[in-house]
Amino acid sequence: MPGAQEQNRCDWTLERIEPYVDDELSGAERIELERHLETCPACREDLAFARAVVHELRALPEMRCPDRMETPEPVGSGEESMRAPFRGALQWVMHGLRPAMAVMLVVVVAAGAYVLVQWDTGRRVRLASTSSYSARDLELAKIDAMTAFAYVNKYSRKTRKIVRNEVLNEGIVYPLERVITQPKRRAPRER
Amino acid sequence: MGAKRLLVLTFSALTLLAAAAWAGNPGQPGEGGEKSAKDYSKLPGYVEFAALDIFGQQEPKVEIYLEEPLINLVSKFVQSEDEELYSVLRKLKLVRVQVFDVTEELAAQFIDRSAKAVKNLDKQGWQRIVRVKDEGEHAYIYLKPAADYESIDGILVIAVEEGENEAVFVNIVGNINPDDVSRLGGHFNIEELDSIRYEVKQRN
Amino acid sequence: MKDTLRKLAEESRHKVYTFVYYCLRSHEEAEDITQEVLMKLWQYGGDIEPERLPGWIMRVARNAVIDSTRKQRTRAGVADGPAVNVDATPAPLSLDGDGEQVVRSRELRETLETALASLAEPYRSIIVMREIQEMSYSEISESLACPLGTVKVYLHRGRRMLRTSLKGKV
Repeated sequence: MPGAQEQNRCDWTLERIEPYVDDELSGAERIELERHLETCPACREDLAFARAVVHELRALPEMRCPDRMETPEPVGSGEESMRAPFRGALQWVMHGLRPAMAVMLVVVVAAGAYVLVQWDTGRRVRLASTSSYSARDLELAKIDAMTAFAYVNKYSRKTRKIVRNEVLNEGIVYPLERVITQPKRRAPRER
Repeated sequence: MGAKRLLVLTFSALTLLAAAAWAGNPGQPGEGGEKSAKDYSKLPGYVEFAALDIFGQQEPKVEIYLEEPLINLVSKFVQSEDEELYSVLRKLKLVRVQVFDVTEELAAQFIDRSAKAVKNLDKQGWQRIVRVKDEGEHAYIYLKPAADYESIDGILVIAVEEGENEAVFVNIVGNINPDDVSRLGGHFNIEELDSIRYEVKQRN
Repeated sequence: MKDTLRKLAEESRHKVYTFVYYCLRSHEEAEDITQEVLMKLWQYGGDIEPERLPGWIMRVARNAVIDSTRKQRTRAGVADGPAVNVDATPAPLSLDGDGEQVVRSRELRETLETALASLAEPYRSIIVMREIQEMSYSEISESLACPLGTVKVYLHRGRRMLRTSLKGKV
């Protein structure tokens, strides 16, 4: 039917108008589209409107952030926060104390090492913070994490009894459903 | 070595030593007097599930609470032996599981309150992907799609199994790929993991 | 690193401000969110590889916009004051090669901005980034953590949706 065919052609064209405006259509599709435009005033009008919208969008100006809004920076963030008058005095003190501090540092480090060796902790993972975990702790945490996922799968496998299964977003739900109702059988990992 | 750097090093060493002495025995992960500074409740995948209040002071028979720092450590711990697990864990922020023993009456209450509570989730952008309603079995699985719709910010599982007399709550928060969910959970079942956990605890 | 962050903060604030303004059509929100983004840059920027920072900044900005959108039940869509434009010169009447006439007017611009701000995510973000901010597809892909091919598809789809919403209004 010419009417239905023509409508299909228009639908096909309308789907490709935006990439055509951006000159991103393949050669064959572009020729096909231009051929249709020659005979279809409605699609030509849509193309003109699409071009106008893009033109107007691109003419919208970039904004300038008001100058009253200063770039926040942490206070006292380092050398540049030191006041010049004190810098000289501190340098004088440091110069004098340098040898004493080197000795102090060695004593402190040695004492620290002694304490750590004597500490009944087993093998500990020392972090920058004050917390520490043994290998056993980490292994238990790993099992806990896997247990959480095992619970998710336990209930998702029961989908054979699903009363209502809502399809919401093909980007998330379809792939997830396929994945969780048919767990992938993975080939044994090669070592 | 610059004088200032030496001073900083000295004080750092003193501080570390003092902190080490103060920390004492940190005990189990997540304990040891350390309060988490991070407020996970603000994360999009986090769920404050009020229906759990009906259990009051009852101790859950299974309780899992893993925060981002520990999960991060675990991911590094497993990296060399399990690349898959590593790639999943390194993007997680919080894992919570609570499983309670329930009587028939408590199970019915939990089901009723859960059904009401999950209605709010729809308004908060959560999407229900599973609802099981069968004799003796009720379960919901919700996902929170990330803003780009390419991954998930959170997973929520609420389930009651009268046959097993237990109520389950699971909330996994972080950047989750849908494929990872089955890949990880499909390796083991819960009973197997329970027995492995028991073995590990017996070791030391 | 601090110098890098400072420089990036200075360069990014206009970009973030522009992005947020066109998504939310509010100078107040644009200021608040720009401030928030810059604070996060200082807080976390040191942990991120420098080449990934520009994309990270836009991602943070976009998440903040989405949070804000979620909180707003209805959008008034009215600018709360005159925009501070880089280019303050009013655009002239212009003719393109086909003889079509494109008329710029304040009403048209406001209609366009309102329609743009009403678009769903991620179409809105992508159109703002691509058409107004002239970001490349790969920059947008990085900012949205979205594959490049998907960005193109969404851009075209978003523009089609925009066109549909503008029909009858202009």
